[in-house]
Amino acid sequence: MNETCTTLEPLLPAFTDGELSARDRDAVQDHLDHCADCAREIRLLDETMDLVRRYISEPGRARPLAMPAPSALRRTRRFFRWGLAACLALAVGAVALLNASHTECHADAAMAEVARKLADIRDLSAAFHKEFAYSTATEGGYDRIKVSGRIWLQLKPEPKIKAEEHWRYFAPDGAEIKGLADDHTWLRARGVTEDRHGSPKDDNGVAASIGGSTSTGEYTTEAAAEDDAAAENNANDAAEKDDGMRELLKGGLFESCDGEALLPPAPQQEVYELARMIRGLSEDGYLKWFGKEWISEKTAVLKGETRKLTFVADAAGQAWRLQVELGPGEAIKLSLSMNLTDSLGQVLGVNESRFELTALNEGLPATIFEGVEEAVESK
Amino acid sequence: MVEEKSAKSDGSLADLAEGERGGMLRFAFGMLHDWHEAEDCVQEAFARMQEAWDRAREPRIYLYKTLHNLCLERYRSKRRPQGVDRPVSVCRSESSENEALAEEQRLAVRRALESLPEHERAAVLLREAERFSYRQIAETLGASVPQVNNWISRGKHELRRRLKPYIEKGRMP
Repeated sequence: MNETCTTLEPLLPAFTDGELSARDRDAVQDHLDHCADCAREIRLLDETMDLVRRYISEPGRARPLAMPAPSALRRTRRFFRWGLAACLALAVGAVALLNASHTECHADAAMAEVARKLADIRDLSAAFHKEFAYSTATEGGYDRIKVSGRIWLQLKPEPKIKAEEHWRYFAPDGAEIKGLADDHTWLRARGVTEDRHGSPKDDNGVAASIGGSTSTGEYTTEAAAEDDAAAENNANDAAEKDDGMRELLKGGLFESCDGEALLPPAPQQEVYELARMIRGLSEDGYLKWFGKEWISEKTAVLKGETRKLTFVADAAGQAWRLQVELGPGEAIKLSLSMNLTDSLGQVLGVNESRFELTALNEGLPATIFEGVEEAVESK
Repeated sequence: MVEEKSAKSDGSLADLAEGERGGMLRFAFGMLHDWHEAEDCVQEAFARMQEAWDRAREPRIYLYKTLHNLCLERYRSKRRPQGVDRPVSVCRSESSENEALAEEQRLAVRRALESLPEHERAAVLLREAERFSYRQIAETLGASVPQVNNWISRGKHELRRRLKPYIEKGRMP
């Protein structure tokens, strides 16, 4: 390299980008015609940028599937999927509704509405992404499971929702059970539902997808894989549970998917929905179904930054707690406690249940509790 | 040269979203090295764009400016991204040689990008992800065109210096 090379070298990137003035461009071109070193430098710069462009153009890489979880853990996993599926259904429903209106409305208005709704959904999504470190634990004899999930939405070129779950398994002593770490990916798009744990399923559209046979099919697939005598019983149990869960969702979350606002506009509406859910849980005997198997705690941001919903159930279905933060310094708590005759791990029935509704803060408007009162009862 | 979309008469927000999403994802990924984080930031940028639609004079610049800020915010909050020092696997079979090389290159590009100062990285990525002109990059990053020229020159030369071994390795038959 000579002095000219050193002088012109800083100009080479702008030369390849076509950003030099005519005078500088001519000067560089004249030099390149006679300097093999700088010509090579130009080629290296081009190849370097090829590498960079390739890197940023193929960010998504397939994640390997790990071995499946033991059947004892599947029911817990399945419930989580139901929760996730419900949220997915909410989001798919919203996108579907908005997409349907897209052809009828002015594109700007429709897009604005989509963006507004997405902002709401994003809050929920962000909750999955940032806060949904879902963990379970039981006392004695049960594995602990930790999972984190993320969910994200794509609006263009077509509405699509993907979710990813990461599972890790822990023994009661806290040691991770190696080899069971599991990634699970969902894809919901118009006309197709894909699940890494099952075959792609063709649906008749988003509504069919929302209809929620995914979990049933999923269970059937899993149950079919069971080659022990308990498979049939498991399938029957699963069908019963799935029916019950579907009813629960119809009474609660699914109402929102079928045409009502995605998220209730007022805090009271959120409370009503939650109250209906709580009441439905008891009426449907839902707690019996999950019994010992389910314990969860999850927090989702419903709207804005301060409104949170925390949903907790213990391993034996002995207590449910649902807490809603309505805004800064405003929160109520709905809880359902159940005293069971059976010991932990042998929950077959419920002999007493009690609802409690507690305002955690003073000064909440009385209307908050309208429509919730009938859920506050003792049996 | 990419046609500049400087006025809303060019189209709706929907058109803008459709046209820019790919480039925005590439840019955000180059900044964050995480596909999911990139998706989040792009979505957030669109949401903010929607709110500012009435007052944004140059929506495209506004979008990228917002996205750049979101990426910086997220990148700084993460401090050093996980996995950046993950060693390249040395256990390779013959059949996986190409794949290993590709992975090695990816890690090298990531490290090289992360070695750049933030403004140099952003300038290079805006150029390479979306073919922004230097003037558009200057507007997006709130800098002058000579500054951008300087950043891109330094950034690209530094990337070239760091990635040269991988380029030469990639040429080998």
